[in-house]
Amino acid sequence: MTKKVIVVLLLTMGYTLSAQDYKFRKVSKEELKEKVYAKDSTAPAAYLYINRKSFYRYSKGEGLFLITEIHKRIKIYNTDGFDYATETINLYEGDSEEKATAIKGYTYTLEGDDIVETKLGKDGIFKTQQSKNRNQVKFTMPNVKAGSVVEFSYTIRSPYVQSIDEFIFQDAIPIKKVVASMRILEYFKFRQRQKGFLPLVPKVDSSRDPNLNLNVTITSFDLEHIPAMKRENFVSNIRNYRAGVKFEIISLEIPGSTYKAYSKTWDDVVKTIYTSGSFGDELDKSNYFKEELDVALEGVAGEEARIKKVLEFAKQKVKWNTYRGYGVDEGTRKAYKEGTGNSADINLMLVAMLKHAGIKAHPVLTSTRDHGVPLFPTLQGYNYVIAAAKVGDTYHLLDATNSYSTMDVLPTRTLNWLGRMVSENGNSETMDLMPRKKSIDMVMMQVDLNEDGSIDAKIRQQYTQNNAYMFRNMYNKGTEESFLEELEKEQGDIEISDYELKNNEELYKPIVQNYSLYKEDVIETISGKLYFSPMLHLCTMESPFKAEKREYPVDYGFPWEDKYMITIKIPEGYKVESVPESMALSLPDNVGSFKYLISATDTTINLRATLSSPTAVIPANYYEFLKQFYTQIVEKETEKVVLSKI
Amino acid sequence: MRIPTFFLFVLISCFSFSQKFKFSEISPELLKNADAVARLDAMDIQISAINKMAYTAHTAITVLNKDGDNFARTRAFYDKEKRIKKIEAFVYDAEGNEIEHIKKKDFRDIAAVDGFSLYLDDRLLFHRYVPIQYPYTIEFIYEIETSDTGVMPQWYFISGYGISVEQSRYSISYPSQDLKPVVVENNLTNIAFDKKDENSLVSYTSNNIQALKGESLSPPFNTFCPKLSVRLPNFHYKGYNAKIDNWQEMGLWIDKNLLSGRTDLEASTIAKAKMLVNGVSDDLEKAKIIYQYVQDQTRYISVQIGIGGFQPISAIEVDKVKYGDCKGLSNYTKALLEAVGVASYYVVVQAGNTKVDFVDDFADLLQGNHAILAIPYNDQYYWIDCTSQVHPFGFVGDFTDDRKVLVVKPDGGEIVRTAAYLNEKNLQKTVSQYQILEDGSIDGEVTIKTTGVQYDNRFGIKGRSKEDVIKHYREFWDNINGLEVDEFSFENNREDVVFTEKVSVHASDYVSKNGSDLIIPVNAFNNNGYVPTRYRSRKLPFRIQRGFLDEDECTIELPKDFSIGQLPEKITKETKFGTYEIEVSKKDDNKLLYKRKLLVLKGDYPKEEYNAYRTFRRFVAKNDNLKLIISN
Repeated sequence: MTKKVIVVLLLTMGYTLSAQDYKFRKVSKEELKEKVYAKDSTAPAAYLYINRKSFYRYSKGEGLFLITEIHKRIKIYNTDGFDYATETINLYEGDSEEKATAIKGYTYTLEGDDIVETKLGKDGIFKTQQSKNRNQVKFTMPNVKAGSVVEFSYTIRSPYVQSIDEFIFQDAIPIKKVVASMRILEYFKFRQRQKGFLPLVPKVDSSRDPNLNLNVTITSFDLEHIPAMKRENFVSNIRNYRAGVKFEIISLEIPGSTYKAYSKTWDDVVKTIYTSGSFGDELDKSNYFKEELDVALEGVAGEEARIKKVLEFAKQKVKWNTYRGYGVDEGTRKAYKEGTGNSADINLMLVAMLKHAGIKAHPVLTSTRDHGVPLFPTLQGYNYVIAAAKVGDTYHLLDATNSYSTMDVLPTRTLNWLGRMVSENGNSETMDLMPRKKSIDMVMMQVDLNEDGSIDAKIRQQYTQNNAYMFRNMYNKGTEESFLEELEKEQGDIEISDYELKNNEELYKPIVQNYSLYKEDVIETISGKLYFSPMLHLCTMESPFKAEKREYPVDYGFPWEDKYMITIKIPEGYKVESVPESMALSLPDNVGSFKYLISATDTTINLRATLSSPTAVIPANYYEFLKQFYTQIVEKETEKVVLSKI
Repeated sequence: MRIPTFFLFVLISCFSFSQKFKFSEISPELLKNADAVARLDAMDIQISAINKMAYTAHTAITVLNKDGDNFARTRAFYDKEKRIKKIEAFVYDAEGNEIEHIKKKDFRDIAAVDGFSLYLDDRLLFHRYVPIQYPYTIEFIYEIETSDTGVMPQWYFISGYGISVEQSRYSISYPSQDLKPVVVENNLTNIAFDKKDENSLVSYTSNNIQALKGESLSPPFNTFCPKLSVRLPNFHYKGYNAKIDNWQEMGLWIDKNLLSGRTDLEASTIAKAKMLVNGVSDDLEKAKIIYQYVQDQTRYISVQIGIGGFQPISAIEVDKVKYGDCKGLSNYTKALLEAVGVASYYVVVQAGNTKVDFVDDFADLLQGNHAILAIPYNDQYYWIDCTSQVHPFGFVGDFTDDRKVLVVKPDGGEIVRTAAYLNEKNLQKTVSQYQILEDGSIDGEVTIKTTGVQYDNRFGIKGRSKEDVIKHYREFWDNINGLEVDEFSFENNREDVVFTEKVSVHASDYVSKNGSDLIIPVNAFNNNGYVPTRYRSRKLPFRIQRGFLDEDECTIELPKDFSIGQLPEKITKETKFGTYEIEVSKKDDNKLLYKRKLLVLKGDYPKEEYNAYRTFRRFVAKNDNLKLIISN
C-alpha cells in the first residue's frame, strides 16, 4: 500500500483568502452547506484541500530526519463517503523507526446555523504493529454525518532521508485544491518523475534553511480541481496513470564527509545495480549447478535448443516465491539448493546457466505491470529482472519464474513497455518487452441444430503464445474436472464431453483442445421459423468499452487474434431464409480489425470471423473509434440467421 | 553374527519415520474431487482448570494441486489470553522425504486483519510455504495455552469442499466432572467413527472420509457436514468466570456482565432524547423517532479489543464520537430508548444472506456475529438493525431475517425467530407500457413497486448519482439493446416498506424486422433468464431461501396500421417450486396487454428434484423471451 503523505502549510502566505480559508480549523459554512461537488455530482466525498510539506531537520545525536507535514480537509457528501473519514498511515520500521506525531483532527457539522466542532480524541487513534517492519497508525473522525467536513493534520518523522514518499495528486474522489512542497537540501540530488495525464508544473525556488543553515531548493505545486480517477477495463495498473510526482535519489554528498551516487543516467543506474553485491556477482558463479546442467545439456545441439533446455532446467530446479526484485534475496546458490527464490535469484541464475551453456546472455531490468512504467532512469524504476539470450542478431527473452513460460513468452506481469539490458562492462540498451507474435485463439466448430432448440457441436480450439501460457496456468492449477466445470459455466452452462487436451506439457506447441459440446436453448422458434446467431454461444453479447470517454491507454498485454470457423448443418426440412451480411471493419492505423464472412449452401452455413489486435497497447486517443468498433461487432455478432420450413 | 532384534527394530522405525506421508499410499477413493488430502487432522485438548487449557493441533495435508494450497496454511492466531507455546512445520515430497523444516523463528508475527475493522487486537504467526512441486505434504504442529475456556476449538471431521480425510482425531481430557465438556454430534451418520467416553477423556476418531464438491443452491456446508459442537458449562473468558448451561443463563450472564451499566448517558443527551419524543405517547412511535435519530447521527466503525469482541462500548462513548460497531450502536440505541421509557432487548444473531439459526439446546459464545435490537410491543417483537443508516424501522432485510437469535432480557436469554420475508411478501409489481414506433424503436414507461426482500434489493438506488442509476437500469434491462433512460423518480415509503420506481426509457432497434413483419420480444421490462447451474449428477440437496413473487402488466401500443394475427395461448405452469403464468390479450385495435406472474416458493428439496426445478426455471427463461409477430 502506498503511503499517503501530504502537508500542513502553517502560514498560508499571500493566497487569495477571500474565497476560501485553508487554515486549520477555518472551515466555512459554505463548505458545510455544499450538497454535491460542483464539478462531479457523483462524488461521495471530495478533498477540499490537501497540503503536504516535506523538509529536513537535524536533531542532535540522532542525525538528519525527513519531516512530512500533512493537512487534509475532506467534505463528506453522503454515507458512501464515510470511508474518507478514516485515515491510514503506514510506517516503516527497520534499524530505526518512522513515526507519526502531532495527530490533530476536527469534524465540523452544521446544526441549524451553527458550526459544531468535534475533536478527534486520543482513544480514537490506533497503532498496530502489522509485521516486523511495518507499523500502521489509523484513526477515524468522530461525529461524522452526511454533509460533515473533516479535517486533520499530522507529521511523519522519518530517519530514511533518501526515501521520499510519492507526492500523490489524484485519488478516487476529486481534489479541489492541493498544495505541496518539497525542500531539498543542497547535499541531495533527486530526480523528479512525473506521472499521469495532468500537466504538473512545479515552481522552483532557492532559499536558505535557517534551522539547518544550508541552502535548499523548494519545489512546490499548487493544483486545483483534479478529477477523480475512474476504473476502466483493460488498464494495466491504474496507479501508473495517477497524477503524482516521485522524487528518486541520485546522489548524496556531505562536503568533506560523504559522496554517494545512487543514479543519474541509465548507465549510472545500470552501474549501480551491476556493481551492487546482489547482482553482478551472481552472473559468474557456476560451480553450484555445473555438474547437473552439463548432464541435462548432454547431446543438445543448436543454440535455440540449448537455450530452451537451460530454461526448462532452471524452471524445474527453482520455483518462484512471488517476491520481486532485481537484486538477489537468498543468492543464486542457496536458491538453487533450496528450490525457491525471488525473481533475481532465479533469472540471474538463468543468465549464469546460459553463459555456462555457451550462449550470449544478459540480464534485463524490468518493471512489472503493477510497478509502473519506467520512463526515467532511476533505481526505483525497476523491480524485476529477466534474461535475454542472443542467437545470431536476435535477442530472445526468458523468465524462469513460471513453469509455463517459454522462450519469448513471458509471464503477463513482465509485459510492460521497455526493459533495459545490462552488459558486463556496464553498458546497457533498451529492450522492447512486447511480444512480437500474436497470441492466437482459434475455434473450429461444427454444429448440429436439434429440434428442441439445443445444439450439439464438435469443437477444436487452439491457443498459441501468451494465450497458451495463460491456459496452462489455468488448467494445471486444479483437477481437470474443476477446470471443465469452470469452462462449462463460463460459456453459459454448456455440457462438455469427450474432452481431449494436447500439448499441455509440450510448451513449444500450441494448446489444442477437442471436445463435444451440448447447449440448451440456443435457437429460438417464432412462428415456425428458427432464429439464432451463427456465432451461437460464442457471440460477443456486450462491448467491453461502455464508458463515454477514456483517459488511459487500453492495455491488452500482448497482441492477439481470435478466429472462428463455424459450420452449421441445416436441419432436414429447413431452408435458409436469410443470413446476416458479411462485413469487414478496421480501426485507424490498423490497430484492430474485424472480419465476418458468412455464406450458405442448401445444407450448411459457413462463418469465418476474425477479431485481431496487432498491438498490445492502444492509446486513449483511439478510444472513440474503439468504442464504435465494438458496438458494431456486437451488433453484427448478435444478428440472426433465419431458417424456415421448406 | 546375529543382528540383535533391538537393532533391527530401530532400523525399521527410522526408515518409516523418514518416509512419512507418501503420496502413493493414499487410497484412490480419497483422490476423487480432492485438491488436498488430510493425512492426519488431530486436535488434543487438555483442560486442567476452569481458566487453564492447552491444546495441540497436528495436521498433515498432502496438497495435490495449486487449488489445494489453501488447505495447507500454516498459521496460528493468538491474543492476550492465548499463547502459542510451540509451532513448527515440516514439508515432505511425494515420496515422503522431508525437504524442509520450518521452525518457530521462521514464522512471521503479524496483526490479524478482518477486512473491515479499524482496529483488532488479534495477532497471528504464519509462514507461507512456496511449493516447489505437487504433490507435497505439510505437517503442521502447534500448541496453544489459554485461560479462555469459554471458546473451545470445534471439530469438523472434514473442513470444506475439495479435501478428503485419511484420519481425523479429536480428544479432550478434563480434570473433574464439573469441567466435563458437553459434546454434541452433528451429522455423524454419514461417516464411520469411533468414540470413547471415559473417566476423564472424550475422544473421536474417523478414517477415510471422501471429498465433497461444492454445488450452487446447496444449504450451507455447516448444516450437513459431520462436526462436533463442544462447550464447557463452567468456563472462563477474558477475565470472567461463568456457569452457563442454557440460553436463559447465557442471557443472564451477558446482561449482568457485559451490558449492565453500559446504557448510562449524559443528562444532556437524555434531555435531548426526551425532547425528540416530546408529545408522543405511543411507545412504538417513540421508538421510530429514536431509531431515525440514531440512523441520522451515527455510522458503523468496528474496533475489537479483548472482551470488546462481546461487550459493547458504552453508550456515553458512542454518544461522544457518533460511531460504533453493531454492539455499540445497538446498546446506544437501547440507552436512548430507555431514556424515553421504551423497553428494548439486545439481540445476538448470526447475520448474513444465508440464514443460520442459533441452536436451541446448545448455549455457547461462538454462535452469533452481529447484534441488533428487539423492541417488544403489543406481544410481538419489532427488530431494528442499528448499523444501517437507511433501513426502515422494523425491517431488517435479508441480513438478519427469519432465523433463531438470542434475545437478552433482564430475566435471561430467550431464543426467538426474527421476522420472515417469504414468497408473496417479497413482491415486485411492475406496471408498464411501451409504444412501438415504425422505425422499430420503443418509448416506455415503467412503474415498479417492491416489498420485502425485493424492497431490500432495490431501495438503495435512491440517492445514487444519475450515472449510477442509468448504469443500474442498463444492467437490469440488459435484454434491451441501447437502452436510454430519459427520466426517473423514486419514492421510498418507509412507513409501509414499499419502494416505488418510475422510469421513462426509450430504445432504438428493440423490434426487429422480418420482411414487412415486426418481431417483438413482448416482455421488455422483466426478463428473467436465470437458469440454475447444470450438474450431471447432483450430489447435494438444494434450498430456495426465501422465494418471491413478480407480477407484471404491460400495455403495448402497436404502430399505426399494424395488428397481431393470432394471439399466443395463455401459458401456465404449476410446480411444487412455484407458478408461472403469461397471457397476451387485445386491449383494443392496436393495443395489447401482456400479463405475467412468477411465484417462486421457499423450500428445502432433495437432490433428486434439482433437475425438475431447473426445468421449471428453463421454462420461465424461455417463455420470458416470447416473441410476437405483427404485420400491417
